[in-house]
Amino acid sequence: MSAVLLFLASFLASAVESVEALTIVLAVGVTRGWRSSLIGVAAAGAVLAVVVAIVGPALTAIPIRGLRLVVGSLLLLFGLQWLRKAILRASGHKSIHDEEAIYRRQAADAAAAAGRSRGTIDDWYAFTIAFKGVLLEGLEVAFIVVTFGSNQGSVALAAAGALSAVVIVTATGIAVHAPLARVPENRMKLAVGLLLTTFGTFWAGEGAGVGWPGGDVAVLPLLAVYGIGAWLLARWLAVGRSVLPAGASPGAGA
Amino acid sequence: MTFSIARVARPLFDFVVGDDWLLASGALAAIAAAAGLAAAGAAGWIAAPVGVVAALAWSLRRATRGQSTAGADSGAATSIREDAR
Repeated sequence: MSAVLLFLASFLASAVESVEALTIVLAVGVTRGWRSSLIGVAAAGAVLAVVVAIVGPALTAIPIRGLRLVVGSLLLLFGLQWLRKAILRASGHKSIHDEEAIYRRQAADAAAAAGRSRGTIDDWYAFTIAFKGVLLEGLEVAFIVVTFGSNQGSVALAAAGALSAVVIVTATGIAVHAPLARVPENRMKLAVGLLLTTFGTFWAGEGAGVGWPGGDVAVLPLLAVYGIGAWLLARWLAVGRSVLPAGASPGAGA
Repeated sequence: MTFSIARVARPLFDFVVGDDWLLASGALAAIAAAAGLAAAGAAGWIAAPVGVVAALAWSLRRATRGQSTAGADSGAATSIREDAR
């Protein structure tokens, strides 16, 4: 059961971040050309692989109780960030992520930027935007993979979940040649936030000496509590508001 | 040297803690309270989810409070910013 949730959390987190990275790379690639953009993607992928390869095994060397306390606390903080933003979006207090609008903005910026080469890179702008986009989106996934995976004793399974999402999102992006605007990003972010918050609480508690009733099975009621709590909070905050489209100002009223 | 540390520490802080450090503090306090109660022999596990949900509710309330007043721009409301995550 935990293995399934581990795979699911890594897959969903990676899928969301891959969709966002794909939008950036597509905008830069279509506008500025693919060579420098793809070199940027490859360079960022290599950096992320090194991060996972180094940090993953290093974490497994830490005693399990200390690991669970530290990593559980970090996952809890991370999960709450995802959950908070997903609830704000679901309740109309924060605009929904619109990949098409972001694509148009990125493409306009890319078209207006000056081009210059550096070393073997023909277009430094395209390279840096693609590199930063993939690296920044990927760092969160790398963090989830190594922390979640090391706690469960299976960084490989977590990495497999993340890589599966990257492959599916990339293949879909190539097939449709457009940003994936129909992916229910906010619901996926909510699911990731719930999973990270649940496992973060469970592991941080275990690491701190808290005994969970039922042992590992306590993860399920914990997930249910957080799910119901998130739903109630979204309903509470949504009173008198409607979901904001992308670009809308949260302060514009009910 | 101080400048270099700040350049590294700030993004790291933002990455781990996010928009609301009080939410992070509240969540960690909930875990600490659960551990304290467990060490005292009580059913400390209850404190963890209750404390985390309470911290989240408080954070969300603070973040949205400024938006209920037209034109208001409280510090909490400005923390709602568009970003990639």
